Amino acid sequence: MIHLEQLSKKYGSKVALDIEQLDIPAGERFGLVGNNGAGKTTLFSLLLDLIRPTTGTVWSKETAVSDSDAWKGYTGAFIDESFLIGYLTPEEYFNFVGQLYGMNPPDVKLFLERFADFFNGEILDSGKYIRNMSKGNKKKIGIAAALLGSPELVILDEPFANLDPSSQIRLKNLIRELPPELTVLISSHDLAHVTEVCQRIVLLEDGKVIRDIKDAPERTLEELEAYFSGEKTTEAGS
Amino acid sequence: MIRSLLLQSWQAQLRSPFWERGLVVNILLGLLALYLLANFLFAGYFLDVILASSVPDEHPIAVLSGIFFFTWIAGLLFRFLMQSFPVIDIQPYLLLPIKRSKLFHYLLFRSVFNVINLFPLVFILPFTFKVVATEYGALAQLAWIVSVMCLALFNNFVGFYLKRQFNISPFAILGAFVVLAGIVYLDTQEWLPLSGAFANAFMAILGNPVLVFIPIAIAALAYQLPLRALRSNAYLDSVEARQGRVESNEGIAALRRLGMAGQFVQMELLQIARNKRPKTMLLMAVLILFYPFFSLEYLENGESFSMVFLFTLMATTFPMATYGQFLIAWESSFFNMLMARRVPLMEYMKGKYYLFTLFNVAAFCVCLLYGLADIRMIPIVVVSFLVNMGITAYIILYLSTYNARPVNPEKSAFMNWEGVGASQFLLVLPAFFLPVVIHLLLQWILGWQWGLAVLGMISIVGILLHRPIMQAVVRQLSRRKYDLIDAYKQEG
Repeated sequence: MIHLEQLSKKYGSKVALDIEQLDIPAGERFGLVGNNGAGKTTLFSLLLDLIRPTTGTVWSKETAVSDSDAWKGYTGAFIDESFLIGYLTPEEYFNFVGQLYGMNPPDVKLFLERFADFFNGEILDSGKYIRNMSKGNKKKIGIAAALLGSPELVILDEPFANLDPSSQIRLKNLIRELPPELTVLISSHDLAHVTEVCQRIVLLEDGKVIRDIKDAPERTLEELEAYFSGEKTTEAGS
Repeated sequence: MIRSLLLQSWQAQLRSPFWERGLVVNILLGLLALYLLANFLFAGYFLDVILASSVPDEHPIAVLSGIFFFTWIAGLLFRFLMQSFPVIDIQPYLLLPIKRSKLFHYLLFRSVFNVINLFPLVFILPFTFKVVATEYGALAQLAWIVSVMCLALFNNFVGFYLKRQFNISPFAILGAFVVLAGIVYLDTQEWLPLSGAFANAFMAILGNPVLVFIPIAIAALAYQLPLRALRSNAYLDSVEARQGRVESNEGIAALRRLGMAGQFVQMELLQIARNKRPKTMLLMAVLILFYPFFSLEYLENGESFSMVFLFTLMATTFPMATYGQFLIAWESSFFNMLMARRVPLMEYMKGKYYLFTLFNVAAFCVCLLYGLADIRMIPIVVVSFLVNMGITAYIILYLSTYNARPVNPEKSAFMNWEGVGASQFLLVLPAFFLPVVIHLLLQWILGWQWGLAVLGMISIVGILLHRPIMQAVVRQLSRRKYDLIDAYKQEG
């Protein structure tokens, strides 16, 4: 699905990201962890062609994302509030995004039904503009909008942050229930959550891939916790 | 306590992003303020001479006192529009162990330290030394100055109250303008001789300086107005949740026929309707449509047709130019989404062109009424419309990709310099002046009638070349995409 090579991004002399090679096959649940400034958002921004790489290319389905807009047709994303239109009501916003993917308002309404639990009755028919809503509710709107238009690839930056505990659990269930062929990329500070929903975890530090843990869900959380509590020297990156 | 609060607000001023915006804008603003102050000082110095020569048979002090009525009315309106009063910046202090009432007094005290309150003082000070002091003595002079300043403070506090109490919509401002103009009209017709009463009051104070306590009392009463308002609603929830329920907009059926571009037009319309700044800016643009009215006399004299055309062109371009200077910057807060989701850039830009079409058709219809005053206005209005559609609209679309400063459309439009930079001037200038230059050139070569006709023809060619020009605009947007994303990210 995603293939990137020699991808780097420098701001002046500061290296924000430097990845030799990374492949994300279709249908993978891919978790990205790392401390602040590790390069998680930079990587996602590069995948979405929001910033230009210093070197290297991002390939999505064998096409460079900077060369063609084809990826926009099957990619849904929510990075931060710059993906929301503050002066719209949630309904208007969903309808607008739906329209971009050829969905009419009844389609959108039908689609949103499965978010009823997740929204907890605070999003739809709230009588508020998005700009006047709480951070958590904004996040819920963004996540639902990223899933609009039956994407094949979904990119969510910190989806668990700002959500209340019940919403976090509902979001986990929501992600688990997504169709298996859907590729999901998630970044998170919450190790427990991300290891629960992702089969593969990539650990970034100072823009570099330090660990790439696949197919070992029972050991992952332990290993990550050990790493973040300071035992960094146990093993070199794989 | 108030002293350290004042110090902190001064630090906030010094550290505000205001100083980080373009140097050019700051220099221009500084020069403008200095120029205005100098003007007032200069006019104030020669005030006695001016008054004596324009109204020779009345005493200059009496004339000036009468004028105070008008400056007072104008001042109140001016404050509505221009003055920004410190309102929400006490929020972080509300939690600290500081007495609430102290904070309120501080807020009001601070509002007095505004350049606007300096203007009347600068204006009358030379006059009082030259005339008032020599005729009535120093005590009367002091009383007189204090009275004038009390009038200014009255406006200051009433302005504070009104701005704090009501979310003043552009329509309310228009309404207030009409009411105040009505009062002035009643006065000039001598049906309600308020200016005369003002003059008498000020003369009485000169005769008996003790009466100065009356204006002081009035200013003190005005002080109570915002103070009470602050007391009753300086709670966080009343600042935040004053908004009622809003209903989702179903959209305009006619726009749906334009496909995705129509959707974008609809978004722009919602954006205008739901945000303060674009709404106010466009309302001002409507007022400017009356501008060509003042040029009609050129037509009557039969001399400068070109002048009339320029007036008309300027007025009809204005809605487009004033909104268009931030065309993409209005969307700076969600520009990432527009670039990362499946937004067809061609339809996106077309939506903006259609919006301009809407503006232009509206301006065209209004200006067509000038044809009733003079039939020769009709070709002028028609060609202005064509130029806007075939030349100016494209220039604005193209250049809007250069405005790389984020704009928050929710803020008030007045004295708001957010998003304004040197590039702004560079953007607006070609939009206004390129058509003018072409017009003057054509007129010089071909004469008035043919010049206008050929200009209209060129514009029609521009309209016919819609597709290739729009493709160039879209290519430009794709090129500028990364720079815009990066710039809009720097929002404070």
